[in-house]
Amino acid sequence: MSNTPDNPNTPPSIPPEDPELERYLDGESDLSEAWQSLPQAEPSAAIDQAIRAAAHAAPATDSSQDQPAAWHRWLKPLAAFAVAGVCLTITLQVIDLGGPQPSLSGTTEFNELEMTADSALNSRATAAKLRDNASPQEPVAPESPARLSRSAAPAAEESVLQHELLMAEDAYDSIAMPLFTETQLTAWREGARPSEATWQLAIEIARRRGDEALAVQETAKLALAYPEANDAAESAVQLESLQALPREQPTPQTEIIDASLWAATIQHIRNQGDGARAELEAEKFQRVYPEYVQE
Amino acid sequence: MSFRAPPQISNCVEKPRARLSMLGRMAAELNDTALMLRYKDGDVAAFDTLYARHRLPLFRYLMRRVGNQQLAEDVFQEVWRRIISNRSNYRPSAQFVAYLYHIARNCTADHFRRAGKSQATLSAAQEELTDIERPDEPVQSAMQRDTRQTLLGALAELPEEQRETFLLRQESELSLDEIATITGVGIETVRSRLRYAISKLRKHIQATDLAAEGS
Repeated sequence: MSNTPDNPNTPPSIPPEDPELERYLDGESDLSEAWQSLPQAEPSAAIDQAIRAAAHAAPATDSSQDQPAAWHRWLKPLAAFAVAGVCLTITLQVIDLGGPQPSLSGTTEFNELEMTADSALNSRATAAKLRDNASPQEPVAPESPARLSRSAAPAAEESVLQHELLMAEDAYDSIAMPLFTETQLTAWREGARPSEATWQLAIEIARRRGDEALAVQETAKLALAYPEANDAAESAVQLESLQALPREQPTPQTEIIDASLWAATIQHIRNQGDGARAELEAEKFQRVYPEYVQE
Repeated sequence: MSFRAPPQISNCVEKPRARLSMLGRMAAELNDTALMLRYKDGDVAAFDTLYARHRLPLFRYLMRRVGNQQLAEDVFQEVWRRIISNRSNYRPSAQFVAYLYHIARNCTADHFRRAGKSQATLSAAQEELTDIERPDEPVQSAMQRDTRQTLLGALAELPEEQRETFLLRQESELSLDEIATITGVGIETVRSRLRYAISKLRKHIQATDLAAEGS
Protein backbone atom coordinates (compact mmCIF):
# COMPACT_ATOMS: atom_id res chain seq x y z
CA MET A 1 0.00 0.00 0.00
CA SER A 2 1.52 3.22 -1.11
CA ASN A 3 1.53 6.29 1.02
CA THR A 4 -0.11 8.79 -1.20
CA PRO A 5 -0.81 12.29 -0.01
CA ASP A 6 -4.51 11.87 -0.63
CA ASN A 7 -4.76 8.90 1.66
CA PRO A 8 -5.00 10.61 5.03
CA ASN A 9 -5.40 7.48 7.07
CA THR A 10 -1.94 6.29 6.15
CA PRO A 11 0.64 8.75 7.35
CA PRO A 12 3.61 8.67 5.02
CA SER A 13 7.17 8.88 6.17
CA ILE A 14 7.13 12.18 8.00
CA PRO A 15 10.31 14.15 8.30
CA PRO A 16 11.20 14.85 11.89
CA GLU A 17 10.96 18.59 11.44
CA ASP A 18 8.38 20.30 9.31
CA PRO A 19 9.06 24.01 9.38
CA GLU A 20 6.08 24.82 7.21
CA LEU A 21 3.65 23.05 9.54
CA GLU A 22 5.31 24.56 12.60
CA ARG A 23 5.02 28.04 11.13
CA TYR A 24 1.38 27.43 10.35
CA LEU A 25 0.69 26.15 13.85
CA ASP A 26 2.35 29.25 15.25
CA GLY A 27 0.14 31.44 13.10
CA GLU A 28 3.03 32.82 11.09
CA SER A 29 2.23 31.23 7.75
CA ASP A 30 1.19 33.24 4.71
CA LEU A 31 -1.68 30.81 4.39
CA SER A 32 -3.04 32.04 7.69
CA GLU A 33 -2.80 35.62 6.49
CA ALA A 34 -4.57 34.75 3.25
CA TRP A 35 -7.27 32.97 5.17
CA GLN A 36 -7.77 35.99 7.40
CA SER A 37 -8.60 38.01 4.32
CA LEU A 38 -11.62 35.84 3.61
CA PRO A 39 -14.98 37.28 4.63
CA GLN A 40 -15.84 36.09 8.12
CA ALA A 41 -19.42 35.05 8.49
CA GLU A 42 -21.41 35.42 11.69
CA PRO A 43 -24.70 34.00 12.83
CA SER A 44 -27.56 36.42 12.60
CA ALA A 45 -28.90 38.18 15.65
CA ALA A 46 -32.18 36.34 15.30
CA ILE A 47 -30.41 33.00 15.59
CA ASP A 48 -28.51 34.21 18.64
CA GLN A 49 -31.70 35.36 20.25
CA ALA A 50 -33.55 32.14 19.47
CA ILE A 51 -30.78 29.96 20.88
CA ARG A 52 -30.45 32.02 24.03
CA ALA A 53 -34.20 32.02 24.54
CA ALA A 54 -34.29 28.24 24.20
CA ALA A 55 -31.41 27.89 26.64
CA HIS A 56 -33.11 30.15 29.17
CA ALA A 57 -36.44 28.40 28.85
CA ALA A 58 -35.03 24.89 29.27
CA PRO A 59 -34.19 25.00 33.03
CA ALA A 60 -37.60 26.51 33.75
CA THR A 61 -39.19 23.61 31.91
CA ASP A 62 -37.09 21.22 33.96
CA SER A 63 -38.17 22.75 37.24
CA SER A 64 -41.80 22.47 36.25
CA GLN A 65 -41.26 18.86 35.23
CA ASP A 66 -39.55 18.10 38.52
CA GLN A 67 -42.74 18.86 40.42
CA PRO A 68 -44.74 15.67 40.73
CA ALA A 69 -48.21 15.53 39.27
CA ALA A 70 -51.16 15.84 41.59
CA TRP A 71 -51.99 12.18 41.40
CA HIS A 72 -48.45 11.25 42.43
CA ARG A 73 -49.23 12.00 46.06
CA TRP A 74 -51.77 9.21 46.02
CA LEU A 75 -49.22 6.80 44.67
CA LYS A 76 -47.78 5.69 48.00
CA PRO A 77 -51.11 5.20 49.80
CA LEU A 78 -52.44 3.29 46.82
CA ALA A 79 -49.35 1.13 46.71
CA ALA A 80 -49.59 0.43 50.45
CA PHE A 81 -53.26 -0.44 50.10
CA ALA A 82 -52.55 -2.77 47.21
CA VAL A 83 -49.76 -4.51 49.11
CA ALA A 84 -52.00 -4.93 52.13
CA GLY A 85 -54.71 -6.39 49.94
CA VAL A 86 -52.34 -8.86 48.36
CA CYS A 87 -51.00 -9.91 51.77
CA LEU A 88 -54.52 -10.39 53.09
CA THR A 89 -55.50 -12.48 50.09
CA ILE A 90 -52.41 -14.67 50.43
CA THR A 91 -53.04 -15.14 54.14
CA LEU A 92 -56.64 -16.14 53.55
CA GLN A 93 -55.60 -18.59 50.87
CA VAL A 94 -52.98 -20.14 53.14
CA ILE A 95 -55.56 -20.54 55.90
CA ASP A 96 -57.99 -22.07 53.43
CA LEU A 97 -55.38 -24.54 52.18
CA GLY A 98 -54.83 -25.70 55.75
CA GLY A 99 -58.41 -26.98 55.89
CA PRO A 100 -61.13 -26.19 58.39
CA GLN A 101 -59.89 -25.65 61.91
CA PRO A 102 -62.88 -26.05 64.23
CA SER A 103 -62.65 -23.94 67.28
CA LEU A 104 -64.38 -24.49 70.58
CA SER A 105 -64.80 -20.79 70.97
CA GLY A 106 -66.50 -20.23 67.66
CA THR A 107 -69.19 -17.60 67.36
CA THR A 108 -71.37 -18.97 64.61
CA GLU A 109 -74.83 -19.38 65.94
CA PHE A 110 -76.40 -22.76 65.71
CA ASN A 111 -79.64 -21.60 64.10
CA GLU A 112 -77.76 -19.78 61.43
CA LEU A 113 -75.72 -22.88 60.71
CA GLU A 114 -78.83 -24.96 60.49
CA MET A 115 -80.44 -22.49 58.15
CA THR A 116 -77.46 -22.45 55.79
CA ALA A 117 -77.19 -26.22 55.86
CA ASP A 118 -80.87 -26.57 55.10
CA SER A 119 -80.61 -24.11 52.26
CA ALA A 120 -77.67 -26.09 50.91
CA LEU A 121 -79.73 -29.23 51.07
CA ASN A 122 -82.60 -27.50 49.35
CA SER A 123 -80.29 -26.25 46.64
CA ARG A 124 -78.90 -29.69 46.23
CA ALA A 125 -82.36 -31.17 45.97
CA THR A 126 -83.40 -28.55 43.45
CA ALA A 127 -80.32 -29.16 41.37
CA ALA A 128 -80.89 -32.90 41.49
CA LYS A 129 -84.49 -32.43 40.44
CA LEU A 130 -83.47 -30.27 37.52
CA ARG A 131 -80.81 -32.73 36.58
CA ASP A 132 -83.25 -35.62 36.64
CA ASN A 133 -85.68 -33.70 34.48
CA ALA A 134 -82.99 -32.84 31.99
CA SER A 135 -81.23 -36.17 31.58
CA PRO A 136 -82.42 -38.97 33.79
CA GLN A 137 -80.09 -41.49 32.10
CA GLU A 138 -76.97 -39.75 33.24
CA PRO A 139 -75.30 -41.17 36.35
CA VAL A 140 -74.99 -38.94 39.36
CA ALA A 141 -71.45 -37.89 39.95
CA PRO A 142 -70.32 -37.65 43.58
CA GLU A 143 -69.47 -33.97 43.41
CA SER A 144 -70.31 -30.95 45.49
CA PRO A 145 -73.86 -29.65 45.22
CA ALA A 146 -72.72 -26.64 43.24
CA ARG A 147 -70.82 -28.72 40.72
CA LEU A 148 -73.64 -31.19 40.44
CA SER A 149 -76.12 -28.51 39.58
CA ARG A 150 -73.67 -26.86 37.20
CA SER A 151 -72.91 -30.00 35.22
CA ALA A 152 -76.54 -31.12 34.89
CA ALA A 153 -78.18 -27.84 34.09
CA PRO A 154 -80.08 -27.65 30.84
CA ALA A 155 -79.73 -24.54 28.79
CA ALA A 156 -83.33 -23.45 29.28
CA GLU A 157 -83.06 -23.39 33.05
CA GLU A 158 -79.69 -21.82 33.23
CA SER A 159 -80.79 -18.76 35.16
CA VAL A 160 -82.58 -20.82 37.82
CA LEU A 161 -79.58 -23.05 38.17
CA GLN A 162 -77.24 -20.13 38.49
CA HIS A 163 -79.27 -18.88 41.41
CA GLU A 164 -79.32 -22.30 43.05
CA LEU A 165 -75.65 -22.69 42.39
CA LEU A 166 -74.78 -19.50 44.20
CA MET A 167 -76.95 -20.47 47.16
CA ALA A 168 -75.40 -23.92 47.35
CA GLU A 169 -71.86 -22.62 47.20
CA ASP A 170 -72.55 -20.05 49.89
CA ALA A 171 -74.12 -22.67 52.11
CA TYR A 172 -71.26 -25.08 51.54
CA ASP A 173 -68.66 -22.51 52.47
CA SER A 174 -70.49 -21.30 55.54
CA ILE A 175 -71.25 -24.74 56.91
CA ALA A 176 -67.90 -26.31 56.23
CA MET A 177 -65.77 -23.89 58.14
CA PRO A 178 -66.96 -23.62 61.76
CA LEU A 179 -69.18 -26.74 62.09
CA PHE A 180 -70.08 -27.30 65.71
CA THR A 181 -68.78 -25.25 68.56
CA GLU A 182 -69.26 -25.09 72.29
CA THR A 183 -72.22 -22.82 71.87
CA GLN A 184 -73.80 -25.23 69.49
CA LEU A 185 -73.18 -28.15 71.82
CA THR A 186 -74.91 -26.28 74.62
CA ALA A 187 -77.80 -25.53 72.34
CA TRP A 188 -77.89 -29.16 71.33
CA ARG A 189 -78.09 -30.29 74.96
CA GLU A 190 -80.93 -27.90 75.52
CA GLY A 191 -82.87 -29.60 72.79
CA ALA A 192 -82.30 -27.23 69.90
CA ARG A 193 -80.49 -29.82 67.88
CA PRO A 194 -80.10 -29.54 64.12
CA SER A 195 -82.01 -31.70 61.75
CA GLU A 196 -80.56 -35.05 60.87
CA ALA A 197 -80.19 -34.09 57.22
CA THR A 198 -78.19 -31.00 58.17
CA TRP A 199 -75.94 -33.07 60.35
CA GLN A 200 -75.36 -35.62 57.65
CA LEU A 201 -74.51 -32.94 55.17
CA ALA A 202 -71.97 -31.48 57.58
CA ILE A 203 -70.42 -34.92 58.01
CA GLU A 204 -70.25 -35.41 54.26
CA ILE A 205 -68.60 -32.07 53.81
CA ALA A 206 -66.04 -32.88 56.48
CA ARG A 207 -65.23 -36.16 54.72
CA ARG A 208 -64.84 -34.48 51.36
CA ARG A 209 -62.46 -32.04 52.88
CA GLY A 210 -60.36 -34.89 54.15
CA ASP A 211 -61.06 -34.22 57.80
CA GLU A 212 -61.92 -37.76 58.76
CA ALA A 213 -61.58 -37.18 62.48
CA LEU A 214 -64.11 -34.40 62.41
CA ALA A 215 -66.45 -36.59 60.42
CA VAL A 216 -66.13 -39.35 63.01
CA GLN A 217 -66.79 -36.91 65.80
CA GLU A 218 -69.86 -35.54 64.12
CA THR A 219 -71.07 -39.05 63.42
CA ALA A 220 -70.78 -39.81 67.11
CA LYS A 221 -72.66 -36.66 67.99
CA LEU A 222 -75.31 -37.54 65.46
CA ALA A 223 -75.58 -40.98 67.01
CA LEU A 224 -76.08 -39.42 70.43
CA ALA A 225 -78.60 -36.95 69.15
CA TYR A 226 -80.57 -39.41 67.07
CA PRO A 227 -80.10 -42.85 68.65
CA GLU A 228 -83.14 -44.19 66.83
CA ALA A 229 -81.59 -43.54 63.43
CA ASN A 230 -77.99 -44.40 64.03
CA ASP A 231 -75.93 -47.05 65.57
CA ALA A 232 -74.45 -45.30 68.55
CA ALA A 233 -72.25 -48.20 69.42
CA GLU A 234 -70.55 -48.06 66.07
CA SER A 235 -69.96 -44.38 66.52
CA ALA A 236 -68.51 -45.00 69.92
CA VAL A 237 -66.08 -47.50 68.47
CA GLN A 238 -65.02 -44.95 65.95
CA LEU A 239 -64.59 -42.44 68.71
CA GLU A 240 -62.55 -44.94 70.69
CA SER A 241 -60.18 -45.46 67.79
CA LEU A 242 -59.84 -41.71 67.60
CA GLN A 243 -58.98 -41.54 71.27
CA ALA A 244 -56.27 -44.15 70.79
CA LEU A 245 -54.05 -41.59 69.11
CA PRO A 246 -51.00 -40.76 71.25
CA ARG A 247 -51.54 -37.77 73.44
CA GLU A 248 -47.88 -36.71 73.22
CA GLN A 249 -48.35 -35.81 69.56
CA PRO A 250 -51.55 -33.92 69.51
CA THR A 251 -53.15 -33.50 66.16
CA PRO A 252 -56.07 -31.37 65.13
CA GLN A 253 -58.22 -34.53 65.27
CA THR A 254 -57.56 -35.14 69.00
CA GLU A 255 -57.86 -31.54 69.89
CA ILE A 256 -61.43 -31.25 68.71
CA ILE A 257 -62.79 -33.99 71.03
CA ASP A 258 -64.17 -32.16 73.99
CA ALA A 259 -64.71 -33.55 77.44
CA SER A 260 -68.47 -33.12 77.56
CA LEU A 261 -68.96 -35.11 74.37
CA TRP A 262 -66.67 -37.83 75.64
CA ALA A 263 -68.48 -37.99 78.95
CA ALA A 264 -71.81 -38.22 77.16
CA THR A 265 -70.50 -41.07 75.03
CA ILE A 266 -69.33 -42.94 78.15
CA GLN A 267 -72.68 -42.43 79.76
CA HIS A 268 -74.38 -43.71 76.63
CA ILE A 269 -72.26 -46.87 76.64
CA ARG A 270 -73.00 -47.39 80.29
CA ASN A 271 -76.72 -46.97 79.69
CA GLN A 272 -76.59 -49.62 77.02
CA GLY A 273 -75.31 -52.04 79.64
CA ASP A 274 -71.71 -52.40 78.53
CA GLY A 275 -70.24 -51.51 81.94
CA ALA A 276 -66.77 -52.90 81.33
CA ARG A 277 -66.32 -50.93 78.22
CA ALA A 278 -67.70 -47.84 79.91
CA GLU A 279 -65.15 -48.22 82.70
CA LEU A 280 -62.34 -48.63 80.20
CA GLU A 281 -63.44 -45.49 78.41
CA ALA A 282 -63.74 -43.68 81.75
CA GLU A 283 -60.13 -44.51 82.57
CA LYS A 284 -58.99 -43.09 79.27
CA PHE A 285 -61.07 -40.04 79.90
CA GLN A 286 -59.52 -39.61 83.34
CA ARG A 287 -56.03 -39.80 81.87
CA VAL A 288 -56.78 -37.16 79.31
CA TYR A 289 -58.87 -34.95 81.58
CA PRO A 290 -57.54 -35.52 85.12
CA GLU A 291 -59.25 -32.36 86.38
CA TYR A 292 -62.66 -33.95 85.81
CA VAL A 293 -64.01 -35.74 88.88
CA GLN A 294 -65.86 -38.96 88.24
CA GLU A 295 -69.15 -38.98 90.06
CA MET B 1 30.60 32.36 35.11
CA SER B 2 28.27 30.84 32.61
CA PHE B 3 24.73 29.63 32.65
CA ARG B 4 23.65 26.42 31.19
CA ALA B 5 20.29 26.06 29.64
CA PRO B 6 17.88 23.81 31.55
CA PRO B 7 17.36 20.36 30.11
CA GLN B 8 14.43 19.89 27.78
CA ILE B 9 11.55 18.15 29.41
CA SER B 10 10.07 16.95 26.18
CA ASN B 11 11.17 16.65 22.61
CA CYS B 12 8.47 19.01 21.54
CA VAL B 13 10.03 22.43 21.54
CA GLU B 14 7.27 24.91 22.09
CA LYS B 15 7.52 28.55 21.55
CA PRO B 16 6.45 30.80 24.43
CA ARG B 17 3.39 31.90 22.51
CA ALA B 18 2.32 28.37 21.87
CA ARG B 19 2.92 27.45 25.51
CA LEU B 20 0.83 30.36 26.67
CA SER B 21 -1.82 29.43 24.20
CA MET B 22 -1.87 25.89 25.52
CA LEU B 23 -2.16 27.08 29.12
CA GLY B 24 -4.91 29.43 28.08
CA ARG B 25 -6.68 26.56 26.38
CA MET B 26 -6.47 24.40 29.48
CA ALA B 27 -7.87 27.19 31.60
CA ALA B 28 -10.58 27.81 29.05
CA GLU B 29 -11.44 24.14 28.93
CA LEU B 30 -11.71 24.03 32.70
CA ASN B 31 -13.98 26.99 32.50
CA ASP B 32 -16.00 25.44 29.69
CA THR B 33 -16.62 22.29 31.69
CA ALA B 34 -17.49 24.27 34.79
CA LEU B 35 -19.79 26.50 32.81
CA MET B 36 -21.57 23.57 31.24
CA LEU B 37 -22.01 21.93 34.63
CA ARG B 38 -23.38 25.15 36.02
CA TYR B 39 -25.80 25.40 33.14
CA LYS B 40 -26.76 21.80 33.73
CA ASP B 41 -27.69 22.89 37.25
CA GLY B 42 -29.85 25.69 35.91
CA ASP B 43 -27.46 28.63 35.65
CA VAL B 44 -28.48 30.24 32.36
CA ALA B 45 -25.81 32.93 32.66
CA ALA B 46 -23.21 30.18 32.35
CA PHE B 47 -24.73 29.20 29.06
CA ASP B 48 -24.55 32.76 27.80
CA THR B 49 -20.82 32.84 28.53
CA LEU B 50 -20.32 29.47 26.89
CA TYR B 51 -22.29 30.50 23.86
CA ALA B 52 -20.46 33.78 23.46
CA ARG B 53 -17.15 31.94 23.61
CA HIS B 54 -17.91 29.32 20.97
CA ARG B 55 -20.49 30.83 18.65
CA LEU B 56 -18.11 32.38 16.13
CA PRO B 57 -15.60 29.53 15.78
CA LEU B 58 -18.40 27.01 15.52
CA PHE B 59 -20.41 29.01 13.04
CA ARG B 60 -17.41 29.65 10.78
CA TYR B 61 -16.53 25.99 10.82
CA LEU B 62 -20.11 25.11 9.87
CA MET B 63 -20.17 27.84 7.26
CA ARG B 64 -17.14 26.38 5.52
CA ARG B 65 -18.58 22.90 5.76
CA VAL B 66 -22.03 23.54 4.33
CA GLY B 67 -21.11 26.63 2.27
CA ASN B 68 -24.34 28.53 2.75
CA GLN B 69 -25.35 31.07 5.36
CA GLN B 70 -28.89 29.83 5.71
CA LEU B 71 -27.91 26.18 5.90
CA ALA B 72 -25.11 26.99 8.31
CA GLU B 73 -27.55 28.79 10.57
CA ASP B 74 -29.89 25.82 10.50
CA VAL B 75 -27.15 23.41 11.46
CA PHE B 76 -25.77 25.87 13.99
CA GLN B 77 -29.15 26.13 15.69
CA GLU B 78 -29.56 22.37 15.68
CA VAL B 79 -26.18 21.93 17.36
CA TRP B 80 -27.07 24.25 20.20
CA ARG B 81 -30.53 22.77 20.48
CA ARG B 82 -28.95 19.39 21.09
CA ILE B 83 -26.54 20.86 23.61
CA ILE B 84 -29.46 22.37 25.48
CA SER B 85 -31.71 19.36 25.38
CA ASN B 86 -28.95 16.91 26.32
CA ARG B 87 -27.44 19.01 29.07
CA SER B 88 -28.60 16.61 31.76
CA ASN B 89 -26.55 13.84 30.09
CA TYR B 90 -23.38 15.91 29.93
CA ARG B 91 -20.44 14.34 31.77
CA PRO B 92 -17.26 16.27 32.40
CA SER B 93 -15.17 13.26 31.40
CA ALA B 94 -14.73 14.67 27.90
CA GLN B 95 -13.62 18.13 26.88
CA PHE B 96 -16.53 20.39 26.22
CA VAL B 97 -15.10 21.56 22.94
CA ALA B 98 -14.76 17.98 21.78
CA TYR B 99 -18.34 17.38 22.87
CA LEU B 100 -19.52 20.46 21.00
CA TYR B 101 -17.76 19.67 17.74
CA HIS B 102 -18.71 16.04 17.91
CA ILE B 103 -22.33 17.14 17.89
CA ALA B 104 -21.55 19.60 15.13
CA ARG B 105 -20.08 16.87 12.96
CA ASN B 106 -23.12 14.69 13.53
CA CYS B 107 -25.47 17.52 12.66
CA THR B 108 -23.50 18.27 9.52
CA ALA B 109 -23.61 14.64 8.49
CA ASP B 110 -27.37 14.60 9.14
CA HIS B 111 -27.77 17.70 7.04
CA PHE B 112 -25.91 16.22 4.08
CA ARG B 113 -27.83 13.00 4.45
CA ARG B 114 -31.13 14.84 4.37
CA ALA B 115 -30.04 17.06 1.51
CA GLY B 116 -28.88 14.02 -0.41
CA LYS B 117 -25.74 15.56 -1.67
CA SER B 118 -22.15 14.77 -1.11
CA GLN B 119 -20.06 16.81 1.20
CA ALA B 120 -17.57 17.24 -1.59
CA THR B 121 -19.93 19.38 -3.62
CA LEU B 122 -19.78 22.40 -1.45
CA SER B 123 -17.56 24.32 -3.81
CA ALA B 124 -20.53 25.65 -5.74
CA ALA B 125 -21.93 27.23 -2.64
CA GLN B 126 -18.62 28.73 -1.66
CA GLU B 127 -19.21 31.47 -4.20
CA GLU B 128 -21.48 33.13 -1.69
CA LEU B 129 -18.49 33.82 0.43
CA THR B 130 -16.65 35.87 -2.14
CA ASP B 131 -17.29 39.49 -2.75
CA ILE B 132 -19.48 40.56 -5.57
CA GLU B 133 -17.46 42.06 -8.38
CA ARG B 134 -18.09 45.75 -8.83
CA PRO B 135 -17.09 47.97 -11.80
CA ASP B 136 -15.33 50.57 -9.65
CA GLU B 137 -13.41 47.98 -7.65
CA PRO B 138 -9.73 48.80 -7.18
CA VAL B 139 -7.15 46.51 -8.71
CA GLN B 140 -5.86 45.50 -5.27
CA SER B 141 -9.30 44.35 -4.19
CA ALA B 142 -9.77 42.43 -7.39
CA MET B 143 -6.53 40.59 -6.76
CA GLN B 144 -7.60 39.79 -3.23
CA ARG B 145 -10.88 38.49 -4.56
CA ASP B 146 -9.03 36.21 -6.93
CA THR B 147 -6.92 34.92 -4.09
CA ARG B 148 -10.01 34.18 -2.00
CA GLN B 149 -11.70 32.37 -4.82
CA THR B 150 -8.57 30.37 -5.38
CA LEU B 151 -8.30 29.55 -1.72
CA LEU B 152 -11.89 28.44 -1.44
CA GLY B 153 -11.65 26.47 -4.65
CA ALA B 154 -8.54 24.74 -3.36
CA LEU B 155 -10.28 24.02 -0.07
CA ALA B 156 -13.17 22.40 -1.92
CA GLU B 157 -10.78 20.15 -3.79
CA LEU B 158 -9.19 18.82 -0.62
CA PRO B 159 -10.15 15.34 0.54
CA GLU B 160 -12.85 15.43 3.17
CA GLU B 161 -10.61 14.43 6.06
CA GLN B 162 -7.96 17.02 5.21
CA ARG B 163 -10.55 19.74 4.70
CA GLU B 164 -12.21 19.01 8.03
CA THR B 165 -8.89 18.93 9.86
CA PHE B 166 -7.83 22.19 8.30
CA LEU B 167 -11.14 23.90 9.14
CA LEU B 168 -11.10 22.71 12.73
CA ARG B 169 -7.65 24.16 13.07
CA GLN B 170 -8.06 27.32 11.02
CA GLU B 171 -11.62 28.38 11.81
CA SER B 172 -12.17 26.92 15.24
CA GLU B 173 -8.56 27.26 16.42
CA LEU B 174 -8.56 23.85 18.04
CA SER B 175 -5.38 22.12 19.11
CA LEU B 176 -4.14 18.99 17.41
CA ASP B 177 -5.13 16.96 20.46
CA GLU B 178 -8.64 18.29 20.34
CA ILE B 179 -8.91 17.63 16.61
CA ALA B 180 -7.66 14.11 17.17
CA THR B 181 -10.31 13.59 19.84
CA ILE B 182 -13.09 14.99 17.70
CA THR B 183 -12.19 13.11 14.53
CA GLY B 184 -11.30 9.92 16.36
CA VAL B 185 -7.81 9.45 14.94
CA GLY B 186 -4.32 9.71 16.35
CA ILE B 187 -2.47 12.95 16.65
CA GLU B 188 0.10 11.94 14.05
CA THR B 189 -2.67 11.34 11.57
CA VAL B 190 -3.98 14.80 12.32
CA ARG B 191 -0.53 16.28 11.73
CA SER B 192 -0.25 14.41 8.46
CA ARG B 193 -3.66 15.56 7.24
CA LEU B 194 -2.92 19.12 8.18
CA ARG B 195 0.46 19.05 6.52
CA TYR B 196 -0.95 17.90 3.20
CA ALA B 197 -3.82 20.35 3.37
CA ILE B 198 -1.45 23.26 3.98
CA SER B 199 0.85 22.15 1.23
CA LYS B 200 -1.93 21.97 -1.35
CA LEU B 201 -3.45 25.27 -0.36
CA ARG B 202 -0.08 27.00 -0.50
CA LYS B 203 0.58 25.63 -3.95
CA HIS B 204 -2.71 27.05 -5.16
CA ILE B 205 -1.93 30.44 -3.67
CA GLN B 206 1.51 30.52 -5.19
CA ALA B 207 0.16 29.51 -8.57
CA THR B 208 -2.41 32.29 -8.38
CA ASP B 209 0.23 34.81 -7.41
CA LEU B 210 2.42 33.77 -10.30
CA ALA B 211 -0.46 34.04 -12.69
CA ALA B 212 -1.29 37.50 -11.38
CA GLU B 213 2.29 38.66 -11.75
CA GLY B 214 2.43 37.24 -15.27
CA SER B 215 -0.69 39.09 -16.27
